[in-house]
Amino acid sequence: MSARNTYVRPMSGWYRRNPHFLAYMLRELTAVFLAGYAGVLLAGVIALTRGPDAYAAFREFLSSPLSVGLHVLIFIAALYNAYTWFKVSPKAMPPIVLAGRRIPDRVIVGSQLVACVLVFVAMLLLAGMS
Amino acid sequence: MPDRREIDIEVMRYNPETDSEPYIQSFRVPFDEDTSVLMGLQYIKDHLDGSLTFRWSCRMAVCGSCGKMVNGVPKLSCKAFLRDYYPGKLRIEPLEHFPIVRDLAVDQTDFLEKLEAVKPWIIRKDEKPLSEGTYLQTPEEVSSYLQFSSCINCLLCYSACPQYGLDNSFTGPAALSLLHRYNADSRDEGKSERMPLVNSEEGVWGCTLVGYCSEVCPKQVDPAAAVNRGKVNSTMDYFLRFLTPRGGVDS
Repeated sequence: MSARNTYVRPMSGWYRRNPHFLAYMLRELTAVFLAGYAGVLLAGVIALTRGPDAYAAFREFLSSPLSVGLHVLIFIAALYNAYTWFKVSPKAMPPIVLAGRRIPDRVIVGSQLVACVLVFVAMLLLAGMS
Repeated sequence: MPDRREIDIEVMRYNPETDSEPYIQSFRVPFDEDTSVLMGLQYIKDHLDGSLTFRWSCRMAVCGSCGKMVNGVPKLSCKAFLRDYYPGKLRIEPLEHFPIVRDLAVDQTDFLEKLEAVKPWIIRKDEKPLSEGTYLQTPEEVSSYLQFSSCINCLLCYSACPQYGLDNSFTGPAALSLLHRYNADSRDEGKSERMPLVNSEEGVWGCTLVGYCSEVCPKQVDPAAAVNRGKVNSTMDYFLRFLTPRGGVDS
């Protein structure tokens, strides 16, 4: 076959071409916030190893408006991130067959969301009791 | 009552002998309730500009030849209808992420090579003679791969995959789905021959689960599911190699 004079279209700005790609990029971006929160936890552990004064300073930082604002932002990002991964989880697992019928994707996603809410409520209750 | 509506169809044109890059040409096409996007293109070719080049064959979403970008979305043009875009207009472009040969026809060579590389056929260590009859499967065994066998190689999923667009060394959704289809088939014994490709950077790990491939698939193959089950298989393959001499494949 003779060489073809084909035209290859550029990919620049591909994520702006389709709302699905924008949602995907948003999901990937929220992972940065999760990594940021891991950094906050790590800073707490480091402060703990440096003694009571350092830990008290860390706790004081946590209650500052800047920290509360960041936590709200990270919490929203974490919720969206978790939701997106629950949503695609049926794709990452082998089909579950129960009594000869394949469990539909929406049941798998729904049961994870319900489990997540139950754990969240249980943790709030535990935190309230202590 | 005769339906006499007309719609504007913008078509991407590219003539490799005269054009340095594609351009858009607009046509006004009459349509009724039953006119598919493909029939719209055929009207242009028959009545307005006979030089318009595009692929099609069966007209009924079986052959997988007529995939196009319709308003930026990968579609089988025989399965999309002009009525759904009216009173707006359509822009029809060749499938994304493939080199344009001419007008709406793309070069599929890269996919065909990838398809061959996944060995999409049943591999047996020892072929059973015909006299022993067919290989039997239970309905459960069939259901573990059936949806992935519905692929018609229409390439819509490749046009929906930005990872393939950014780096076409990625094996891509359809080829990996067919790879999984044979690995998941109880009659097949060729998993160990396919796992090196699954495990490679060009295999399942090139996928970041954008998931759009499964949305555009006209046959509900769910390629994203096949690729991501491939990731589970690849992970198992990696860890089981420490435990078993055969690396856990064919088990």
